[in-house]
Amino acid sequence: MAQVLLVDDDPAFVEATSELLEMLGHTVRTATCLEEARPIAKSQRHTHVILDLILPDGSGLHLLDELNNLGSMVQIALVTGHDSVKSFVANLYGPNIHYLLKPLSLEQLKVFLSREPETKTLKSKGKFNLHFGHLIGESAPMQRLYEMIERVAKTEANVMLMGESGAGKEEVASAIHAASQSDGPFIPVNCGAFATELISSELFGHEKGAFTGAVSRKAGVFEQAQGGTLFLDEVTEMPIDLQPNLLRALESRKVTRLGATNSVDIDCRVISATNRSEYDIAEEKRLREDLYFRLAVFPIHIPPLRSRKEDIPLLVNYFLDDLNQQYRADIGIDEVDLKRLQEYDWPGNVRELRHCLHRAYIMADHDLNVIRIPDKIASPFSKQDDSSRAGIEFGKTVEEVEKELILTTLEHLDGDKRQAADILGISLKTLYNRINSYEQNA
Amino acid sequence: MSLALISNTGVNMNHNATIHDIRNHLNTISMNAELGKLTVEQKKDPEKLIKILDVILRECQQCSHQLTELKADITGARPPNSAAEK
Repeated sequence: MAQVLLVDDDPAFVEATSELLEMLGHTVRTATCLEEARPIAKSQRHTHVILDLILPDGSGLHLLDELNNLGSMVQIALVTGHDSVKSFVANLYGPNIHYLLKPLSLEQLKVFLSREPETKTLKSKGKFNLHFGHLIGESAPMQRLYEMIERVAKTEANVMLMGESGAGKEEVASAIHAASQSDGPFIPVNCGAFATELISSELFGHEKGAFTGAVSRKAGVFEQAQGGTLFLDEVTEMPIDLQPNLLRALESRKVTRLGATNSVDIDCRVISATNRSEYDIAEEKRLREDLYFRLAVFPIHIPPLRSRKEDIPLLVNYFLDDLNQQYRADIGIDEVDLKRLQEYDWPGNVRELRHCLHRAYIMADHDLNVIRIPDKIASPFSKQDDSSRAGIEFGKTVEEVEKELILTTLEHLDGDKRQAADILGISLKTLYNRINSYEQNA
Repeated sequence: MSLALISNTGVNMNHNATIHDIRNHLNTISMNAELGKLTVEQKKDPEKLIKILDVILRECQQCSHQLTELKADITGARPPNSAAEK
């Protein structure tokens, strides 16, 4: 029987259709807008999605993008009044999308639900060693990361993920959730995306009539994540004056909806994430100290892609396979281009690599069946690499230049001393001696 | 009303919005009719069936109301914008 996600803003249609499908033995989850649909789509596995094209907070096509990015093996039907939409969307999203024309009939629904989800994709994913169902890479920094995930998953400790933009914080959070084998859902939220006046309502929920616009009772994300994992992305972007409320919830393990008199017990692991360093968090006072220690019981640093370049071929194959599934093609990469990808520093990390491959895939040479990497790989959003500005200035001593070189190399490799020693052409012992002398002279 | 909003078929954006709404009502009617059939076949629950038929009747009324508005817009019996203002 199908696991259906039904997204439509007409409550009477949603109620009738979900009841109808449940009578036929299917499991149905419903949402009336994108905001409601996103966490459900991410946290639950569905075989079929029935999606209205026009929703109150945006187009259903946005959810389509996100389902594609999740690599979901799901059949999707867009509900539309015009079949003219059909050809337009087919051009954009490929052949895996179906259409249900209004007014719907039971026959249309039965035909759609009889379509099996793409099992080919499942088999194909088996070619790759997806650690905890989410992570790719066999390098030493990733092995250390897997060990930490395995250890922390067995506990109930809150985790703070630190890593550069695009390094895969949400994937690591999902991996911890998967490794925890909890019964509850994974609820991701972006603290930086909340309007200041709505943060409390989003986190803790509200009762009907608690404020203007609160037309019905709403559970906050802590309640939604009951028995599972709440992922607070960009937690350091939360206004400091609202942080005591979050701290209280974490300490008491209770939340009170806005306008409610009674509190609700919460039982979920909180994983938070930031792309700021611990030093910046403290220096710029992005988080209250007491909240930092509550959130970062177990901090995990996610290695940047440049410190694990040996994983690039694996990642490239994985993303190309994903694109080949989507477009039903068989396009690869030639050795020279793969080497170029491995030589680049990827300041935007795995996300930048993925976008670069998608661009190159669209520009693929269909005679040779290989992607075409542009001459200039860097994206306009890639941050300027500080190390490229470092250099020899008049007036510096040899010791100062050497120290700068060693520290820059270590920073570049996320503290990997063995690799740093290799690159610098010195023994590991010499490197340790230098680091010790810098610490003593500090 | 801006002339740019009127296509050469004589259908403007207000009309399109009303047609979209009417389709939604028909959609709900259709799904409730299917639910009603299944309820009779599987549950034989007359109270449940009456509830479903009430939804269908309510949606028919709303459909009829919007068709009246659409006709008024097209024939110019009242200003076209009033449908959107409602």
